[in-house]
Amino acid sequence: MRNKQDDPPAAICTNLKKTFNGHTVVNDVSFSIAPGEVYGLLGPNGAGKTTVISMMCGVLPRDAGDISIGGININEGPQARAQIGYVPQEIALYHHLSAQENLNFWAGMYNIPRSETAKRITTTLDLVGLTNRASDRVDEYSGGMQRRLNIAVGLLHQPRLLILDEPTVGVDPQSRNTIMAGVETLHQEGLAVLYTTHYMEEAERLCDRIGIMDEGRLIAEGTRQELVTLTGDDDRIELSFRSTPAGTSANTSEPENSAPRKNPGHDRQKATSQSPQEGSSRFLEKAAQVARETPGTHSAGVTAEGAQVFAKNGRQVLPRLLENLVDAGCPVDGVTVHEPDLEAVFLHLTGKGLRD
Amino acid sequence: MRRLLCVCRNDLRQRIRDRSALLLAFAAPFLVSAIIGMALSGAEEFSTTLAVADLDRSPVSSEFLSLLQSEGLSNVLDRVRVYETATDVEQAIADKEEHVGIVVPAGFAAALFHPKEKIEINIIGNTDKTLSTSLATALSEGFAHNARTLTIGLATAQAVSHGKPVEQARLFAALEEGLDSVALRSDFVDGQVKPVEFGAVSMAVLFLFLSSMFGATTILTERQEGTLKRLVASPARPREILGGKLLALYLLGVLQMGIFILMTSLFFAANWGDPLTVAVLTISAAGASLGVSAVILAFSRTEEQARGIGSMIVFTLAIAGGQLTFGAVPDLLQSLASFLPNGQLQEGYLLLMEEGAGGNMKSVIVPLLATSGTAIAGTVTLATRWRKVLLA
Ligand SMILES: Nc1ncnc2c1ncn2[C@@H]1O[C@H](COP(=O)(O)OP(=O)(O)OP(=O)(O)O)[C@@H](O)[C@H]1O
Ligand SMILES: [Mg+2]
Repeated sequence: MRNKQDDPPAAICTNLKKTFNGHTVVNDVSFSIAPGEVYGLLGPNGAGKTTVISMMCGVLPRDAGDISIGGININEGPQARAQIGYVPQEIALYHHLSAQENLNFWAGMYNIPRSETAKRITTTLDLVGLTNRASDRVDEYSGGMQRRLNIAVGLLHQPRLLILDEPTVGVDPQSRNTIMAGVETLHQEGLAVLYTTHYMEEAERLCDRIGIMDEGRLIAEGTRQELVTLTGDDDRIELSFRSTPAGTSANTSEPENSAPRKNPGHDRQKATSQSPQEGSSRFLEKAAQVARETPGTHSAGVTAEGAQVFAKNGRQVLPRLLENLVDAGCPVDGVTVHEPDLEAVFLHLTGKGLRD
Repeated sequence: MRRLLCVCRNDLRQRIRDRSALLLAFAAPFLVSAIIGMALSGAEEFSTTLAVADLDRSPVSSEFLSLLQSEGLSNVLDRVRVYETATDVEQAIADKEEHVGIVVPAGFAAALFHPKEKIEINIIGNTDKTLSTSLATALSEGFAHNARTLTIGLATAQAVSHGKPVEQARLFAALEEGLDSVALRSDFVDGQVKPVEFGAVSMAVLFLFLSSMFGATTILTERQEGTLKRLVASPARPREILGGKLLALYLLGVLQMGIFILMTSLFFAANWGDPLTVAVLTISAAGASLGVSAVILAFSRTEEQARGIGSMIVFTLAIAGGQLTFGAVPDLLQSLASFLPNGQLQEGYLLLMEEGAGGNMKSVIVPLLATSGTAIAGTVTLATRWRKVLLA
């Protein structure tokens, strides 16, 4: 393992800027990645993640800003690029060749000494679990295997910084897990990683620090904990109800005048003169009121699916809250407690969801 | 240098794995020239007997007759017998004494001088002998066409130079001299180059330039698949990447031509001429194809664009350069072809074939210059635009 203290930062990007046809897609983006750190770039489609990476790898000329990789300015060219293991978003492999041949080619491109090449290839294939398919052609591989080989190519020359651009897009859950576990292993071994994704779970699981990008800007940066405090760190409790007194489900995704249900309260309530919607919203309002009055909660409101309640410590408040609701004649059907997450942070910062 | 060779070797390996590329480069030209060879070499074994009657009895028509009886046509016209009247000819055909007949009607020569009047030569054919009939038709049409062009040209020239009416007798004299050089100047029947050899040369040149289009598209495919990006992100320098790729294309071009020349020599008994000169010309030819690849590449961003631009360039070259017309080209195209690298190349190979063992560099100096010039111009064009090709 490298001695991290003595190493220069794996990457420093300052004031990066890129404009396509008058449209600024990367706007004044600065961040740095410490040696051995896993840094996540989280942002929705079109945020500019790939554009940032392309500039770092020298694949795309930048309009402004500076980049250094492992202490070497990217303008130096080959030496700086040699520090990077670049894994593009798409599967960038030679499909007519075997895994072995693909890796052998890249070994030449990265000037790996011939005497070491065979050993390196074996180790790398081992790491991504493709050893027994080494001499099969890539076009005979499954999608997940191709993804793994795609990553292997980036690892072969033992880079200082591994850049993974959405490595789990279009991957089955099993391969996705393998890939993430692999990144965790590399992290433990001291490799610095730049990981872009629009899945917040991946960023949360893998990254030491996360930069949130939206519309070309880095709008927030920090550890998961630091980012989450941006929203205030309340848990969010989502409540849904078996039925409202109006006889309709509180879950609005159900058709409003659905066929008779096996619902004990159903016939009794049918006679009331309220319209179903009116009854439902009044019922939910009442539930929210009960929640607000329960000690330990901060606020509560009606949502499309039911009600939501914010509390400093959701799981502690929950038993009391449910008891109060039942007492008030609001039988709860489902409960989910959301601890504050990056999705909420993104929503808080941009007013929209990560994957809209 | 290690990287350049790495790129080159990798590209070669991929092409060799790619069946469609292999087919295009190696199997297709051989198959097509085999087909053309068979079609044309039919003409070698093929021979026909001809009955001819000259009712015009003019200097022009007798020139036509002597042309039909000339040495040059003896390999396709087994026997030419002259009959007195059209009826005699018809009778001979009907009796199957002759395969096909030509009757030059009275007034044929006179009609030549009146552009609005139709020139007629009657072909008397036989339904079982369509090939003979088409041959007779082609010979007659060729003669009539050339004769008219020549007469009108001469008449105009003389009228202009003397400012007085043209004398027929003098014209005929001029015509007689001129006819030798125009009538049926055809690569099939006239020269020493065999039809199958002619077919082989045009196919070699055609497919060499066709591959230049596919060469450009393979590099753009890499762009689309993302491996080009990876190459650019590696420590390799742009010139190593492009250099390696161009070298691979070049070597494939040489290999493609080499194998083709070898195969046609072995299987079609084509005699390409002095081996050393043929080799030098081929090495330069592959360069020209590379130059065309480089130009297509320099101006395309995607595979589709390269196919569009490429097929436009390649087919224009092929038509204007004479690979699709088999020598039967109008004069304008003929002279255009000599300005094109592929036209020059075809000319060069044919020349070496004609000269046989006596051919040398001197005889193909212009084709050599044209092809290597194309190589240099194309590569320089690409070098000035490498960013457009390599960067995102
Ligand atoms: N070559 C290009 N020409 C024009 N616009 C481009 C080009 N490349 C990217 N863009 C634009 O730049 C913006 C950012 O694209 P980028 O690929 O960096 O986003 P991303 O964050 O990687 O998104 P995704 O999650 O979908 O991969 C997009 O609006 C895209 O349309
Ligand atoms: Mg992207």
